[in-house]
Amino acid sequence: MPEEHLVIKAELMDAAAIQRALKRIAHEIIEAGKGVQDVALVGIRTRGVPLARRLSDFIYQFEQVRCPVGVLDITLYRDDLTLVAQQPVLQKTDIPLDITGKTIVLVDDVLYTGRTVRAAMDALIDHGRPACIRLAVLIDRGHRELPIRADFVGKNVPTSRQEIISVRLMETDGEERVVIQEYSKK
Amino acid sequence: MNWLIKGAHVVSPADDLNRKLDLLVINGRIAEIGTEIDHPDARLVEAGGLLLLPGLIDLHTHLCEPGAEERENIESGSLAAARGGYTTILMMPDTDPPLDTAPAVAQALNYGAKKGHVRILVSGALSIGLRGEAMPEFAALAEAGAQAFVQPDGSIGDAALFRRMLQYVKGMVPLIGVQPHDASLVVDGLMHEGVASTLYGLRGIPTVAEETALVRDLLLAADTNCPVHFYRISTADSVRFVARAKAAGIPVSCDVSPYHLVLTDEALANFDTTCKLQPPLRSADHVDVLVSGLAEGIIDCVSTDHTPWTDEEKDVEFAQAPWGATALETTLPLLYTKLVSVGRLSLTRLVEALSTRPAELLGLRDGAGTLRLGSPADFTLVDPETERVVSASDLISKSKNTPLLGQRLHGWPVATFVGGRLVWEDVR
Amino acid sequence: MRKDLLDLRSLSKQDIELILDTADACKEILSRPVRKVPTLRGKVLVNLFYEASTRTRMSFEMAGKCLSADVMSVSVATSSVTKGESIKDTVRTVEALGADFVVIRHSSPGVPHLIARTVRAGVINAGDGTHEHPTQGLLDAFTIRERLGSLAGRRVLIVGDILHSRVARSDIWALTKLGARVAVCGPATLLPPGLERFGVKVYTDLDEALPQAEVIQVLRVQLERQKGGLLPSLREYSRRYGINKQRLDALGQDVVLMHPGPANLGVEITEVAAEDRRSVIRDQVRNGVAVRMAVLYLLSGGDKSELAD
Repeated sequence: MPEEHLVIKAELMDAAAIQRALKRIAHEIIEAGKGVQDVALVGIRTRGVPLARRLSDFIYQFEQVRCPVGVLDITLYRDDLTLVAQQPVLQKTDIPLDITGKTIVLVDDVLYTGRTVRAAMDALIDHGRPACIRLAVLIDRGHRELPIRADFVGKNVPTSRQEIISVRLMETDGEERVVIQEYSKK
Repeated sequence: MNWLIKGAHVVSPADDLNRKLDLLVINGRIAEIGTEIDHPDARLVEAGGLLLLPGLIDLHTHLCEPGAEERENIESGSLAAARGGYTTILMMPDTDPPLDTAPAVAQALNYGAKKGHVRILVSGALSIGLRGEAMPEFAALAEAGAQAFVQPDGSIGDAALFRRMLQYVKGMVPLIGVQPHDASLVVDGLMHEGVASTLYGLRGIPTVAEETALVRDLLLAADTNCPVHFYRISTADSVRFVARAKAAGIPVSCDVSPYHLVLTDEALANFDTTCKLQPPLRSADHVDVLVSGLAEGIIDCVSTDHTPWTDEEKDVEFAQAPWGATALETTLPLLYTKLVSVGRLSLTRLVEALSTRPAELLGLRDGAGTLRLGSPADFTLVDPETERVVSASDLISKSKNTPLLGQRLHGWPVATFVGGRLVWEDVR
Repeated sequence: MRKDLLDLRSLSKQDIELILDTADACKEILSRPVRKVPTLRGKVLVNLFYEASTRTRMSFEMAGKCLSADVMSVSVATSSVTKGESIKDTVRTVEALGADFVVIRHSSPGVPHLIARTVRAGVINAGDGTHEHPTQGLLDAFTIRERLGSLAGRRVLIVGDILHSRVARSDIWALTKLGARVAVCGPATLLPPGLERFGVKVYTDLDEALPQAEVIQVLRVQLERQKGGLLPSLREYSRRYGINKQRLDALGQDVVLMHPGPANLGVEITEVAAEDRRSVIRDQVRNGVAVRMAVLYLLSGGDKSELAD
């Protein structure tokens, strides 16, 4: 059997493109809510968290209002846990505010099947009753398995199921770009 | 039946034999030992590469019949003995009813002779019901054929009673056996007291629980000048005390179980109840002294303490599980593999400990434990090389409670003869 | 992680740290308005208690329920055990009813091991005789870590009946593996042999042992010990080994006082000491739920397919 390994097929976004997309999303969040007085951002671990922080920073630049940022670990809400050999490492959820009555923007890097977002909504609702939940993602790659769509999208990327979208951020990966990868036989 | 065994390596310390020889059996008796023997009317067995040993003799077999035939009976237990190379076993009196009356002893002897695949000698109970409280009719037991009086699993707690017993029975039977054990020091102990008992959280049994009983009984043996045999000593100091007693001329002997020579208390790490033995498996420092004590002859012999239990009885909560393990089938391969093959014990000394010396202790004068010309042809052929894994399905004993399941051993008997009769043969 | 949690002796430092880190995340759940996550939805947890215990059983029930497992608790009367009902038969029945986890408390050491060999369900030892009480050891380590940040180099003194204490054993393995310097103190009749072999310091004089301690775990003294002839009297025990306000005050304001419960107030610890602000006895109870959630979560892994998303 030839060994399979990941190869990069193309770069979808560079650092500047990521920054432009996030700035646009920040503007859209402000417009959609007619201001950001009651908006809180909640990043889904792992890469949703730095994205949420950056969105909060951009919103502060544009509006001089600081939106609180929460961190959500959705591991315990996943529907595929019993299929996993090694349990994923559980990390702390940190929602430093009462979310009841707030507009919550969930932030993640890639929207794919929708199952992560489903889990995140369940998790969020256990923390209180938000006025509404919106979804912001850097990449929407299609192939939804649940009736979920994003309110704010950085970039729509048509993909095949064999392809893997890899978002790399300075905070988590030490580089800043989005690539499309595929397993290939050596 | 006549047999001509050709080319086996004969090891019999009693006859000073330790070389390649032929052995001729005529009418169930040993007719000739030598080289280049020929005989027209004998079945020829080519035994090149095999060991030929005098039949093994066990001083301590629990046969469970009558009373607990689901664990073992005379038929299954004696076949297991034959498979292990044994040709004579001393049956313990802890049957139900116990062998504390003359009719019970006579019946055991009778059944043993009828159903046994090997020679079955019978021991009488040293106390009524083995309760350690009162003397049975010793003379009647001896007249009925008891070869020994034993308290197989414990001491007689009352020192005055034990002293009177020794005074009374002296000279009646060849062997008086007790297992040194002071119950008041054991309390509810479950294993050897030491580092391992601390690790596993099992209540410890201190070594002094054995040694105080042993020392007391050494003194009583000296006081009464009555021979006493100690079953299954297990501590380093027990070996030292026996050595000193023997040096002082006190008429005592002792044995050790095969497991105490090989396993340590760490075998209990997974709470495996097959390793729950009485006395408990000891730590490695004791095991070393036991092995050297056996090699030096301070410990006279190895007794199996073959103690069958059904799975329903034995595979339960550790604290509730009964004591003991089966051993008849595996004692020779175990000790051959773990002691002889690695050079810790000579083969000659092992044969002494499994055959020559037990025959002497039982006062057998018909040639048991030897290959003397004219004596009944009790011997076993052993394959020193072929390795076999101990597995429950392979064991003949009705019960499978051995701590050796899964172990690879060599030195298995391949054929056992009792009075010239082939009583067991490894068909593979 | 494996199928069962039978003891801490056989766990590695990494295993223990993973459990404590996971418990950190679980503890946050307990502070939410909705203290429940769907992780073990449809899974069945059976508490099989052959020995009376309210606290541990409640704690496992709570942990299971916070993870949305269906929880059943069975107290097995010891009378039916002595009647000869096989424990293997009982757990096979429990498994046939659909149990995914069996939490077992029994007076005989090694029973969880026996059960783990018998059934496919995950087996968690909730205390087996004088052997171990692994989730207690974990919650004690968690509580100390929460208070002091790390266990490395910390001096922990365990006071009382070490010989018969499953809590002491689990504490010793957990704490020493995490780098704490553990000492024990108790009357010589209640100390097991060979503890020095594991780097544990052994004292029989409490007032000699106390000044070194940053954390004190006070063990419950079983009232039966006096009858068993291991102690002259509880009064003498209390005088020599009891933790009172006076002894506590001599240790300064930063000492951490623990007790696995239930306490015999006035025997091994006075009520004033137990309720002192240096006491973390209530934290131990709360942390017990988080630690048991972590254990259930980590033991619930299924087959080998890769992460889906």
